Amino acid sequence: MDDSTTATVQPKNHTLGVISLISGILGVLLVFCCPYVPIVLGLVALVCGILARQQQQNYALAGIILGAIVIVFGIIFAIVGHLFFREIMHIIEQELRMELSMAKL
Amino acid sequence: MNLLTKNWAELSLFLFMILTVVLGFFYVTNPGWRDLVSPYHCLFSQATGLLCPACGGTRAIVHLLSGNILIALKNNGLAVLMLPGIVYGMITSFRLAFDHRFTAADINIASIWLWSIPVVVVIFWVIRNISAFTFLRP
Repeated sequence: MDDSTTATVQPKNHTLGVISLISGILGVLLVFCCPYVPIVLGLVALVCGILARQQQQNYALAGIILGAIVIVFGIIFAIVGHLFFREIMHIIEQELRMELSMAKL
Repeated sequence: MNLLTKNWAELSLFLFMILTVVLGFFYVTNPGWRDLVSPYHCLFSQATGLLCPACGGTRAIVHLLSGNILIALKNNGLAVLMLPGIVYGMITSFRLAFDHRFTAADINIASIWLWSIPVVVVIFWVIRNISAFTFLRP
């Protein structure tokens, strides 16, 4: 029997690609919750995705795309939150108080 | 150590991990700074009245750093259980950046463990909002 046919083929390792994809998924799940955790997860997804793509691992492109989306949305939410969130919540609170006082009357 | 054999992504992953841990430490340990840089508390919680999987995470880390492990687990058990993963990530990114024999292809974790993370997060998210599991609420 030919040696080349009996040689064991090592299964390819896709760990970094999977880490990238999972970080991206977790970032998407948390993007509406906290201001900074999704940005961190997005950056992990992006960098691990780039490393995985260099190794030609599976899921790398999905991780890069998800990571980029999460970073963009995370930054947008953080900026919008800084600029407007306290004012919006203040207005909502004032309106709720007015409605409550009207209901009491 | 041979930095010349490393590419920018391997080095930046380590620098980024260090930066995250240092900033995270300052964020957790400085209440004044935390109030200044946090634009909002949880949007999901404020919109729905339900808890997200990260709610209570900062309090959990604060109590953990103070040595109150039980109170930390009460505030957010998931955040406490994720810490060994973060430590593993730090060590791996350090090796990736500075050990020339260690490459991205050498990182090998069984896929089932990795895929269990989002599954656990989603299960934790659901059950901490069920009235029978009030002990999981901060």
